[in-house]
Amino acid sequence: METSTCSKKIVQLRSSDGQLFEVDEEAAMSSEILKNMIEMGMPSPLPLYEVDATTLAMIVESWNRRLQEKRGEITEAELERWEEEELLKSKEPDGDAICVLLAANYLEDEHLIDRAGEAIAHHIKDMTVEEVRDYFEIENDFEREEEEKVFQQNAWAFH
Amino acid sequence: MSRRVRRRVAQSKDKGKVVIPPPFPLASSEECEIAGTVAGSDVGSGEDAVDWTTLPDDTVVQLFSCLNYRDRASLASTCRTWRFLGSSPCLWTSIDLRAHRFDADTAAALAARCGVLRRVRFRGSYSAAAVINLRAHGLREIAGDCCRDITDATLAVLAARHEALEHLQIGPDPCERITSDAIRHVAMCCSRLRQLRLSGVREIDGDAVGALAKSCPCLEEIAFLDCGSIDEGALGRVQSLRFLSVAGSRNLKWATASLAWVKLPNLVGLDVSRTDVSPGAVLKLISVSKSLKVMCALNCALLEEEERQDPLAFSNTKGKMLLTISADIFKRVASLFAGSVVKEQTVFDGWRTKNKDKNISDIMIWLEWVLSQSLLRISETNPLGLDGFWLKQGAAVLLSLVKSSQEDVQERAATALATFVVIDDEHATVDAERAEAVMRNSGIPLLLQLARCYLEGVQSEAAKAIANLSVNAKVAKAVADEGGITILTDLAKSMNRMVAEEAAGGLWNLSVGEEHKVAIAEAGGVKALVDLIFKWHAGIDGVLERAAGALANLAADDKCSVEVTMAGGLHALVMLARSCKVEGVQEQAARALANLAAHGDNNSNNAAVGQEAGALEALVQLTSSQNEGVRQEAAGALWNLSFDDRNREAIAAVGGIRALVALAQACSNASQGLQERAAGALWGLSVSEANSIAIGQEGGVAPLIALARSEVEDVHETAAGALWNLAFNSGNALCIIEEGGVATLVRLCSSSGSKMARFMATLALAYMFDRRIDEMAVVGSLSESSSKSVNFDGARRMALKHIEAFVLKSSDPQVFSAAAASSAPAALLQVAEAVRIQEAGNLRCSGSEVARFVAMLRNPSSILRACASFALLQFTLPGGRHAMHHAGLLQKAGAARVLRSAAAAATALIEAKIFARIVLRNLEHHQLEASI
Repeated sequence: METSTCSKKIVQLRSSDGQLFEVDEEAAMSSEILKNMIEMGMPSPLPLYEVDATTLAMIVESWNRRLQEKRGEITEAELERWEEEELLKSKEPDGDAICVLLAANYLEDEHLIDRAGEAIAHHIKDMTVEEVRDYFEIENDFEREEEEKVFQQNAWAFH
Repeated sequence: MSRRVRRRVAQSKDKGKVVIPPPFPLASSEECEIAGTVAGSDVGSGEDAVDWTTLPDDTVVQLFSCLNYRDRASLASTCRTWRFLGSSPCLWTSIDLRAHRFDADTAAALAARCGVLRRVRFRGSYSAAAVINLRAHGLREIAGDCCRDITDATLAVLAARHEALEHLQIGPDPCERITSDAIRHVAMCCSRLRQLRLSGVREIDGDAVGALAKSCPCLEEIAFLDCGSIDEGALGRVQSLRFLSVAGSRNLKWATASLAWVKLPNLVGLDVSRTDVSPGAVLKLISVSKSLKVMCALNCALLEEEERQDPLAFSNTKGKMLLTISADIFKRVASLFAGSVVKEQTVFDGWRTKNKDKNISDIMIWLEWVLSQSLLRISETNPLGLDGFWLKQGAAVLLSLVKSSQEDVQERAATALATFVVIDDEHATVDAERAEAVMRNSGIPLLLQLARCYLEGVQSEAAKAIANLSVNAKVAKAVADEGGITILTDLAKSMNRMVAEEAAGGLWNLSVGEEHKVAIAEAGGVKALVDLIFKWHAGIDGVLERAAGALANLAADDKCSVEVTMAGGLHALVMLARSCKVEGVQEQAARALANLAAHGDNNSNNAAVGQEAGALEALVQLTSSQNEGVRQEAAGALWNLSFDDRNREAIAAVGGIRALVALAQACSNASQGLQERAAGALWGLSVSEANSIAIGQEGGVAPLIALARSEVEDVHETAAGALWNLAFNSGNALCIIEEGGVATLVRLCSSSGSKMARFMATLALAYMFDRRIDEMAVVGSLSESSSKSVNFDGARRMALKHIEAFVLKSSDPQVFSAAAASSAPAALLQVAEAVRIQEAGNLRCSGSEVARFVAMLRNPSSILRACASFALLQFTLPGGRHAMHHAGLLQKAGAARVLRSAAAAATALIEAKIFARIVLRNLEHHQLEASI
């Protein structure tokens, strides 16, 4: 109820590691889950159990920028460039796109899910199977015969 | 399931450092960084660790959908969960296998995933035959490219096995083996057919069309492109038809056609582009058909003729839209949206974002398709008289089509953009105005954006367009300014050969000028290109030629050439020169090696090339290639390499002398470039006396004399250089005389436009007549050779006269008399600068050559004495590359004493004395410099 009476409409968020963030309510509405919480009138700070402070700081910034873009304060191209270079660090071999995707997924922010997905797709382009496993830290859980079969099934794609 | 979790924060550099959180609100990126360090305190808590299993399946599936098949396969091969997700039906409703070898085996491997497959695209007739092995019985759409050899049998089986087929498209390559039988079969099997597009069928008879009319009640669109003959009357009975294209088809009876087609009750769009449609037929269709809305008639000779005579011939279209070459296409298309406000130039964009009217959308989608087809064909045949069309609107229309949501329209439009700018295939001439028209219409950022999309077919065509356009320097600059170099470098790393090939072509064109070389290197382009050669070395010619060509251009820059070597380029290029059998590749590899070795003392590439196993042998081999370009570049490389002493002798050791003499002998009708390089390589090799003797023995004198007769300065200058080196040896000198070389050299030293050529021809003559030949007592043998009897004394007199003319005419007599009157350093300096031959500073003489000039200072002929001091003057002038080296040799030979007496001799020519004094002064200068 506090949030609705607040004239500036600021909402507080608490990251998984206990840091508090203050966000413009309209910006926070980019997240489906926060939108629901706000509309249900949950008291601040709103807990986000799966997003750490580092990532949340970046995401809050990205919401603010999206709001700025919506209000015409920055251009769409500027927003996109910022997302690409700062948020997702698409140019760096080990950018933050993975963290952003997971957080965006938890927060149910479709826009960020799409953007992070694209960035990751760009990263893993032309990687070998082993490189993909390293990138995502996936353990190979195939039986040997199974792996052979998988290989046969996909061999065509490598020609 | 054992899966480690990812702990991203563990990578934070500020481990364990606790910082108080910043005040709210967080807005600037600066503060975010502070927040970033906060998280560092959490390392190891595991709370915020990242776990992929928390991602919902559809997010992972979404990720799959952004990837090409290769990357999907990699992702699906990592673990069980992802293998399962990678087989999700939604990823396999539509597949485009054009980039892959799609044969029966591939189809069998795919079959398990293709239960829900609705749409397949493939390339090649063998792929068409493989489609049935997918066992995708619910297939709705089949589209095949490059199916020239597809047979009736294959098409019939395709139809029989896929009864639910709604769209069938085989083209744009002509299906010449398809007959009406197969079409009839398709009609009978696929009763739900809505769209049939075939190209290049020889004959489509009334039975076939009749079967379509009878059995396919939903058939809305037919495109019979570039067909030999079509039963036009029968087409009038396909009542369901809404869109018809007969673009490029021949032998149509237009009177019959117009009569029959006006009766089609549902016909909305008709495309008769690239045909001999008559004005009368067009007018009839427009005026009588009730349903017709759009008629496309681009590049129809008879209509254009009619419009030339009467610009208003087709002005009354009765509310129908008629597109001809001379029509304002944007304006006419905008007329479709009557009632709503549309901007003409952006009518396609406007429709894509706003329009919800299905009828209009159907028309626009069809129009995009036929326009892209016709414009591509027109750009390929490049008919005369279309300049105005392309500049005024063609380029803009193509750029509008590039933004289509239909992938094949995008591809074709990009290909057309790559094609229409090339106005002369043979010389790859790009029309500046057309290229700039693309640029003016904001085409460059658009194409670059397209090159980054994840559809590889589109990527490669966009890269091709960028590559071709970049031949134009202005466009190249725009491409670089818009970040194109980084984008092309990224594409060059693609695993898709077509994409990599076009990207390498783009880098090749961009690397032509000096402006972009360093930027390409900085973007990592050098490494990407070298990797390309290693990745595709097995006979993929297009990629290799482009990569080697780009590296050759880059290697011409000193800094980039070092990068090429560091990236392993030397090894890659030598490998190509040694083992690739394709001439285009050989040529570029040899050119690249030539350029790598062209930086002399600036870097160690020259020596490094020679040390690469098999490099010199390969280049020597290539000098006997069937292809003139290859011979030229190989000779150029050997020329450059011979500047390194060790390489020079190594080239000789692997048979280079014989090969290059043979090349010189055979190049009398060759290009100037080849002649220059053949002579140049012999010049380079002849620096050592052993080599120059060998060249003489192999018969190199005569061809060099022939080249010295060339009118082209670059050619006769290099030949003169080689002859000068050869003449050092008495045997060669004699041979030059016998072969009539004196007259040639005399002519050069009196009338060449190149001072260097005149200088070297003079020195060659000086060597030939400084009495060494007499000493060797071979003059007798000379007179014995009856066939080539030469008047030795006459030749000598003529030579001396011209040597004198060259040496003494090299400066203003007044300057000399001033210098003679005073021995002031300033006067000498004035003479020295007046007679300096700039390029002679690059010549390097051995000890024995210097000794020979010193000896010549005592020659009985005052002219030769003057010539010797003139030569020594040139070789020791401060600022010359080897001046120090020559001064050292002179000191060692004790030349100072001889020079002093030459400077003082009473009988000497005044010029000779002054030259000698300048040489002495040069020696002092260098001594002083050395002592500092």
